[in-house]
Amino acid sequence: MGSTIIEKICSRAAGKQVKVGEIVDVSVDRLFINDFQGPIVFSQFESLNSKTVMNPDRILFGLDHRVPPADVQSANNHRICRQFCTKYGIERFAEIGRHGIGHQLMVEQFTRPGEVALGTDSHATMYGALGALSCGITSSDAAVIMESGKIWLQVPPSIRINVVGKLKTGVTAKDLSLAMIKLAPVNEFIYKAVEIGGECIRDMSVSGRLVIANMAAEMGVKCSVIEADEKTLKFVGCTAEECHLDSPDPDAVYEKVFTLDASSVEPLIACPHNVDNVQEVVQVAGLPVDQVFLGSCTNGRMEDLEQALEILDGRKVCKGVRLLVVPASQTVMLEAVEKGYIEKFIRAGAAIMTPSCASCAGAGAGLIGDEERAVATTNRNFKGRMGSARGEVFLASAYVAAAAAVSGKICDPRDFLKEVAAK
Amino acid sequence: MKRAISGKAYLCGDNVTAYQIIAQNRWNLGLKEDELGKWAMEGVCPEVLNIENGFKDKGFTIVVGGEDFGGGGKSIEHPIAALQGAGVKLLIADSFSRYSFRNAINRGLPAILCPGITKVVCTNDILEADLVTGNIRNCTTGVEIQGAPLSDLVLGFVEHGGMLAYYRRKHLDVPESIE
Repeated sequence: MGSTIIEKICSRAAGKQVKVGEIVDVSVDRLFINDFQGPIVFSQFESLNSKTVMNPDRILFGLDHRVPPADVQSANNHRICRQFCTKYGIERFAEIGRHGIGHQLMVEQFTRPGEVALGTDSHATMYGALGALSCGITSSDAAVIMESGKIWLQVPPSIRINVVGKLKTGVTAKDLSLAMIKLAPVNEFIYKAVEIGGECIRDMSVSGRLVIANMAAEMGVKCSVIEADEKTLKFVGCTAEECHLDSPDPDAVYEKVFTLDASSVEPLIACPHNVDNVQEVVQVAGLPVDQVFLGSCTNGRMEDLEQALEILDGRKVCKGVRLLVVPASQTVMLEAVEKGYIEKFIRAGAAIMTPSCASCAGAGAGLIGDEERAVATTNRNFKGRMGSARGEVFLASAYVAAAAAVSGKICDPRDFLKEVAAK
Repeated sequence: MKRAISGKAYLCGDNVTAYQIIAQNRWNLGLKEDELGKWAMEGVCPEVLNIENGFKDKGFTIVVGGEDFGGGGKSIEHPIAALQGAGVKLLIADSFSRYSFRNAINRGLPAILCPGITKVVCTNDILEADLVTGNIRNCTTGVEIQGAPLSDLVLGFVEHGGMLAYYRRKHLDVPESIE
């Protein structure tokens, strides 16, 4: 009986052939801790009476939820984290100025295919786009990994999603991820590993794959994984010999196999107040918008900025609308400056914010007020998530976000893209 | 180490959420098991609100859940602490939400994944579960069903009262063994 990608990674990390449903102790290759959970993780670690942190070089600490701090409590929490990391030799501390959303830093410069990479945040599923086993963990899990280098995991059954066909113009990985959420009732994916492949995923950029793996968290999965290839190696900057490129065996056993035709996907939007409340953009077209948010670990990379600029370049943000642009990391920000993108956004009338989670999780700047409506490229739209519980958040691609910023209402971005093509 | 757990079962349906196990307005009680235990399961079994010590007084020590037991996307430990405070010694479910499973194991409450368990158990049945083999026997009906066994490490957590306590103890043990 063959193995799925996740079963192969679990077996290697556990040092034995694993079975689905079995609980195994696995070695953890990469651990991400953020400023939101950091103080709790560190106090739990210190309660373990351990003198040293195991493998501090395998830990990345990211300041991303409250950056830079806007209240004294957050500043003090940062201080606790900074002092702890200095004391225990955690050198990969993403200090303000060299910072970014932790998930982005985990994929930009740290995680490699075939690794076990975990983080104290639910969207840690994103590193699965690199062919890693990645998922969110609790604070006490992180404390134990720091103590022992290991953690227990239950080997999940795998579900395979084959994405065939090509995406239409103006339709992105974000739309595809929303289409996936509608493939089955959320219960079908709970605690499962979702292995996503097929020609559309092979043709997709790593940036697009990161969107898919990130949004898989909203399907209730334990983890999502995409087979690593040459594109992945180029993205992470290592050779095939320096990592593990796992493919599923031809006789791997899946609990279920889905096929999704990418060519049938239209621009989609997740309406308030749940991510699975997915509609075609045209069904809600015309709703006026107060704020547009372009950023987050889901859609804050160069490709997203480029998509937005296809529509925004040479146009103006609509009167009465505010567009917040939040690159996912300082690396992305610098590249966007060097390529002139930031200037184009500013000329269009956008506000540029320093890389962070910003208002995506309601912890940073950029909140919406009562009765306000936002279109965001983020990953959750629960009531009150981006500010007022009387506001509304719609989730969509960078194209849909940019089109909303220009027109002041939700609309099909292809109307603008056609104009661009006609020029 | 006690490897077998037996007791009276309480059967719940699918999609029992963290909020039903312990209502949101109780979360400010902190992680005090005894306090939380008085309000455990009020969203599943509302009659417990009319009983002095709530679910605990009903004498169920095994909770059998359907699909996605403890779901709702919350990573907090309160639902598990509440069940522990209500005297629950074992969870068995068709499927667990990821964070409820992790928190049960991490707090030292054994949780056995056993698809099909809700089809062979009724409330008030007496069950006996072997944590090492994952075998579950319904002593009332004689039916046996196989669940996922717990690993040695997880059994260690159960024995010590939780994952953090297990690692704390491990460090305390080191100097003693040197002596």
